[in-house]
Amino acid sequence: MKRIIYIIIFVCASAPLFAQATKELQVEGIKVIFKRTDKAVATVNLCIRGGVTNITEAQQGLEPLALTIALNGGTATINKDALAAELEKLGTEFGADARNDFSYMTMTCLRENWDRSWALFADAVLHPAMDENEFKLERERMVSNAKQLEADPDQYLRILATQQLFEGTDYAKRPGGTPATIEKLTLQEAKDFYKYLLGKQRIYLVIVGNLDEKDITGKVKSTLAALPAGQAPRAPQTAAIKQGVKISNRDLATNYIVGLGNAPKYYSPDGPLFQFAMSMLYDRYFVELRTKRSLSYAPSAGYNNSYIETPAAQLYITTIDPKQSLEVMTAIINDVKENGFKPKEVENKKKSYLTRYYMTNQSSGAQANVMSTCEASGNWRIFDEINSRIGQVKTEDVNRVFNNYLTDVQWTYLGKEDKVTAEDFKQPVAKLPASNVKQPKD
Amino acid sequence: MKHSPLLLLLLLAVAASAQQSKNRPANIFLSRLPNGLELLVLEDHSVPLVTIEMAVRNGSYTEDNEFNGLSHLYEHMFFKANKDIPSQEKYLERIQELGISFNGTTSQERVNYFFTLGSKDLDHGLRFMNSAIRYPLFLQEEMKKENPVVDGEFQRAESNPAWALFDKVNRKTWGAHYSRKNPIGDHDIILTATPEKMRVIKDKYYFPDNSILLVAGDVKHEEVFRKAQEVYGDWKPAGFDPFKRWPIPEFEPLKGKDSLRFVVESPNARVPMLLQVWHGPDTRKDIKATLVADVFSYILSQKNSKFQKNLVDSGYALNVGIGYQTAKYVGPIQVFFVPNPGKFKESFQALARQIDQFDSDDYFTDEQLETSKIKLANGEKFGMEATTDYIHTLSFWWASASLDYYFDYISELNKVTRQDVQDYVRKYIKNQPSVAGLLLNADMQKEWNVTSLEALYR
Repeated sequence: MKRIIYIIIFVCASAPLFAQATKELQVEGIKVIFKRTDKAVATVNLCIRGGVTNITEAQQGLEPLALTIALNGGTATINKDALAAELEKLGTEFGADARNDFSYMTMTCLRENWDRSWALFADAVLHPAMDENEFKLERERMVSNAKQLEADPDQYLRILATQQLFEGTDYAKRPGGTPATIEKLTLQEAKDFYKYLLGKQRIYLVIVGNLDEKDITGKVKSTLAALPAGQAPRAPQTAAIKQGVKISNRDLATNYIVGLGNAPKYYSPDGPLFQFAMSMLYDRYFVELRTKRSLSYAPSAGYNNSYIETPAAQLYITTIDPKQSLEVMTAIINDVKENGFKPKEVENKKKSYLTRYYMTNQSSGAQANVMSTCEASGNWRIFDEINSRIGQVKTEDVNRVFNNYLTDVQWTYLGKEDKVTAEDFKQPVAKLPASNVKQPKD
Repeated sequence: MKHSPLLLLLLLAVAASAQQSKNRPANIFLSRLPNGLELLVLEDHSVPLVTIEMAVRNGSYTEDNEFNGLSHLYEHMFFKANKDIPSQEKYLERIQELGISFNGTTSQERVNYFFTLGSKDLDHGLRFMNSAIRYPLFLQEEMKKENPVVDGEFQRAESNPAWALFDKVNRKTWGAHYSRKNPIGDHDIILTATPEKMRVIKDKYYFPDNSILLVAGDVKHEEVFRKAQEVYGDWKPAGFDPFKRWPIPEFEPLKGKDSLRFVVESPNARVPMLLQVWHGPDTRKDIKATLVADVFSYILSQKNSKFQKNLVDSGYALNVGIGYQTAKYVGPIQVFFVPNPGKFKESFQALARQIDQFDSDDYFTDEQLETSKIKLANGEKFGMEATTDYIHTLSFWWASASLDYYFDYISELNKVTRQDVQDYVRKYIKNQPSVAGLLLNADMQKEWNVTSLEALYR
């Protein structure tokens, strides 16, 4: 009992620090999520909804390419060299990237340089020069990076896994592009696409910093409010995760394995619960696979929300003994299904969960990124509410979601092919009726 | 009011720290226990966390071939059984009870261990750290299990094709003392490591007078100093300087030219990459040049610098950067270069032309020199945003330079002149021997008919 009281106190005592003054504003049709902090750094994320639904297969890579050259190619009134020089002096950084469900242009600056940094950012967003030379350079860099991803076994493993899982659906498209698609993109396509993207129905702003609400409203009104309404994006097709195995041969010093299993959507009530359950599975993997059996340096389990409409339970290991590792990974899941997580595990996890939460959200950039993802996942408020939601988690709820969702796993293997056969890739037991799950003991 | 002898000692220690840099941030407090343990407290009340870090002057620079990789293995053994906790499983249970996020790192000149937990548990955290740092058991059974885990970390690094390039360049750069710059170590040494070897490391380096305790977060420094005395006050000092008793050997200067340029082939490489390395300055022998090195690297990183314009904007490179790693024992200066496949053959000569102009009077503008200093200063402000990470920056500087070096870093950078930069380039880079390796796969080698890297530079 003492422990539970302690945790509630911990949550309540800490709540005001992160729950301070996050507000949703509507500024002439643009949603603005503003979080006030006391830190010296401010971040703006201009997010664009749609992600892979914005592009065709042939346009893979177009979104980050268009956004990057818009920000880095200068504006109608400042050439790219002058812009780069001023940003470097201010210590202000522009960046852009595209994910599966949304893309973003971001600006990070010191609080003292907020006014000028915003002016430059808004100018770049609204009046990009889309410089020809910058376009060619960026396109070549992106081709090189796309090739580089395929050389990195961790990255390539994930590409292989998602190709298998999402074949024939929107999510099979790679927002960063493939070497073949990027090479064919043209400047005119980038310009047209940029115009198509930047509409009020598609964008939202996330702003974090020691800033003033009125000032933000005024700045948005005098700049981004000039954007057209545009169109709201369509939702991506979803994929059902089915049992499956894909084995790819590569001569590596160790072997890479990832398994993707069913999971609830983050914006559903079960989403954060399942994420919590997977973090407990991570601890079990660490103890059993690394500490007790020395099978791997890097076993892990987690909740992968990078495909919002098809989130996944993610199981991962690098190992020189894949057969045994796969057996143990599945056995641990089955043990949890059979016997459940223990109440003590759940209570301890609440504390470490909060530690991680605060640690990973110290910077304005990190907070802006998490809120951007939460908003793309349905509601930015998940970010602020997660503390109290996790504080109320009950053991039986965690066991229920784990048991219900983690039923089928699609496995992907990259390494020496003679080390495994398709039969080594086990499946967890099917969903157990709730009455079959043994009562966990502390 | 009477002071106890202990309190007097503490006051003396605090007084001693007051003589240090006046540029120390107002929320950082220093002290030192009578046993030599340095204390640093960083107060940040923005989130209810505390990070407790212990850093030790240990790492690959203390390793000869027989011990290569064992500072890192030692770091792993820290998170296992000790006098107060009988096994790694119990250790992990305690981690979970306290809600700790933990890790450790081993580099060339520092090993650090850190726990982040709720600031209300400061006392538990300090005691937990104390048990692990002072009383590890190095159980035979636990070591037998950990050796392959550490080797697994090594295998992951080796699975990236860039590893082959980095490793060969490092071997050539550091020659007979390669082990001193190679924290990941050697497979055989790792897999055959024994508890006796762990004790050898402990008895050389794991003393309060070779360590610093850093505590950062929602704490009060007076309380931390008091608790540190309570918990660590009876940790016995070594009473000797391990770096005098077991000196780090000096690296042989690089010699020759042709033998230091080579092609590294990896079937898994997809993109050509070049790494070129010079022996740079260090904080023992040329402190000023270590600062100039950073200013110079930041001039060349600017988008409008000649380096970027003439290599990237001109289409010779997809990516190019130069960096200097501050070190106590010869910091490397490294150029990382991704040639543009469209101008592959010409790109190396273009790079060589730039290096040749590094010391010319018009290679950078006064504005770029000043912008470099501003960028470095702003980088520090950004770095301070996340306290749990910033604490590692502080321990890095403690180990490879000194805390005063770091606190005065920005003000000293601001004194760097054009002449200083030219002197630095001439002393360490231009016409100085360097090692260069080019990563290719067999198809690239065939397509571009690469027989020698030296020939490409010519």
